[in-house]
Amino acid sequence: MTELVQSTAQTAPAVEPTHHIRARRTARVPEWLRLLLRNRMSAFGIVLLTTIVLVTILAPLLTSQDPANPRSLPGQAPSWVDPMGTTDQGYSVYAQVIHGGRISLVVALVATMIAMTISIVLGLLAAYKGGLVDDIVNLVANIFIVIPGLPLLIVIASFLEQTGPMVMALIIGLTSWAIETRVLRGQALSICNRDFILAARASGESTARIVFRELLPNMLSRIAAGFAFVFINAVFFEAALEFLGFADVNKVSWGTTLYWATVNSTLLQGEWWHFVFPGLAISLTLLSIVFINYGIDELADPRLRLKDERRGVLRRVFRPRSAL
Amino acid sequence: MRFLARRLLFYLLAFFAAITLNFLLPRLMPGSPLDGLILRYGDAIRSNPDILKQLQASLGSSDDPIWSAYPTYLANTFTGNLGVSTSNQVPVTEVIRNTLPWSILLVGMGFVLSFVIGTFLGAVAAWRRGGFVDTVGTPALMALLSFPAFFLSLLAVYFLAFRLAWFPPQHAYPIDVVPTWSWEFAGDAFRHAQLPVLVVVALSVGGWMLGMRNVMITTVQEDYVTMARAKGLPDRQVMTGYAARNAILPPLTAFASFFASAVGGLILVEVVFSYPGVGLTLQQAALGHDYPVVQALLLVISFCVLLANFIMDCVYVLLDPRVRAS
Repeated sequence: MTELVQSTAQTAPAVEPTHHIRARRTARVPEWLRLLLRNRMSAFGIVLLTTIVLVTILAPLLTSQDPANPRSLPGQAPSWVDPMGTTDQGYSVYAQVIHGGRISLVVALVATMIAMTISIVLGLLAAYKGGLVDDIVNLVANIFIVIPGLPLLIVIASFLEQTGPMVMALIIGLTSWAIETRVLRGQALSICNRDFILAARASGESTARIVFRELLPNMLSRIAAGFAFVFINAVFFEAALEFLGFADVNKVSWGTTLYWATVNSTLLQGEWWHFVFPGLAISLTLLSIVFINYGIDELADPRLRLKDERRGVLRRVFRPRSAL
Repeated sequence: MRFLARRLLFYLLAFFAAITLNFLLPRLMPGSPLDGLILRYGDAIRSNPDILKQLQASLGSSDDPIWSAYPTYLANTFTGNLGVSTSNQVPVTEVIRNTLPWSILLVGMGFVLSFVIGTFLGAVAAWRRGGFVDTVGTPALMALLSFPAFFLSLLAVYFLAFRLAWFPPQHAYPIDVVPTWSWEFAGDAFRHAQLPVLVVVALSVGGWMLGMRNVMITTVQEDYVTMARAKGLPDRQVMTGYAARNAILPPLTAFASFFASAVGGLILVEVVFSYPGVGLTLQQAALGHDYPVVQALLLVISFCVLLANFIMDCVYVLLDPRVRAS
């Protein structure tokens, strides 16, 4: 799969001579991807995340077991038949883990999109408008930063009778916009005084046009980093709510598999496979984005990079095969 | 002083916002939480008309419009009249008194330890770029950061407490012991707190380390550090007194978000360890729709978080002379 990513990065610029204008548009995407792949940390993260997403999408092809239909002997340790063992009810943990990513990842993605839309609109508008709008947005964002998110989500979930996946995405999205709003506002404030914004303002452009056509494109790298940060939080919140029993526990996802692992007190029966594999799935997802984010940070801030490139152990461990 | 006064005003506003949120949430939700409660605990509620009145004040009822209910709600909250738990008829204030100290014990010990260890490791990693702490410690703690609290707790309970039996796996003290103020009980409590505190430390130490490391990397290149070196000061003194002393300030400003996520982690740690703190109680109450307890605990948690933030602001003023001067 590394080869796959690598090959698109290499072939895209090659088209350039024949289709000049179109090729330049398509070549833009591989450009940042190539930069990220050149960094060992983010290359590792991208490969890991792509693998997880592919496994999740291709889940029905990778197992014949139905994750919601117990077929096996209960409480079996990992074996050739059930590579990750079975639960106390005879569900295949392997089938649950590779299918479970669907709800976890989709809910986190939708929640992140909701939260980022709110933070982009509020952060940029506050920075551009200034005055009372800015003060209010800043105050509300700061208040939501100090009110801890998980307790608030638990309270909201307890008042709701039904928390299906989409309701979860909605409440997670509506509670995790504050930090990025503050970050984006700060970033936008520094851009707002640049000449091109002042010029656009002087030529009488509308607020919406300046904010979305002039400000927004200049903040894309910061927004990408914010997206990664909010996504990490959303994956965690989603899994935590499921683990605590506030979701539909009959749906298959990483968090609910962990929930059943504790409800069946597998810990004290020594059935480690029931919680280790879904837990690892969540951790690896989070880890991949942490590493990608680290690469983005190093790209954006050259001071974080080591000049003399002597990070022996790290380099050998995290060097992707394609880069050898 | 003006800095602290402004922060205090902000925290008061934030606490007020938390109370208002608490008031609005059950009223904005689809359906009526009160009807649900009466369905579940009908007999207990009907047998005591005071409880019903209390619940109507905190959850809202059709014959009490929002604008007249809000002042009543505020008055109830500030006089400490938080109601009675619907599941076991215990006053909510007593529930708080029995659970809050355990949580403060965990999060207090865990957070202070992780701050001390994390900033120290971060400083060392930046001071010796490419050294052992930097090449092994940085990625290892980054990996640890991506372990969600519940997974790390499950692993700790299974491997360290159950398999190796180094720590007691559950609860805050042996089940057959009655809590008393004695050395023996304190020893029991300490033994049971070790593993949960270790997990809390593991969860937040990476954040402090990475924050400290990234700031310190730029501080190390400052002229005053070069100057201190040129003067021939011992390496250790330049690192702690010059570089780290200045690098410690920016990570401290991230305290608010670190602490908020640590509180989230605390809930999960308590649930996995069956540790009788605020987090476990909140989960149980929320699953059982025990709304008086749920609402009161959200307020208590918010209050403690705001208080911790204010204490941190005071520390910040002590550390940064520029804030004191302005």
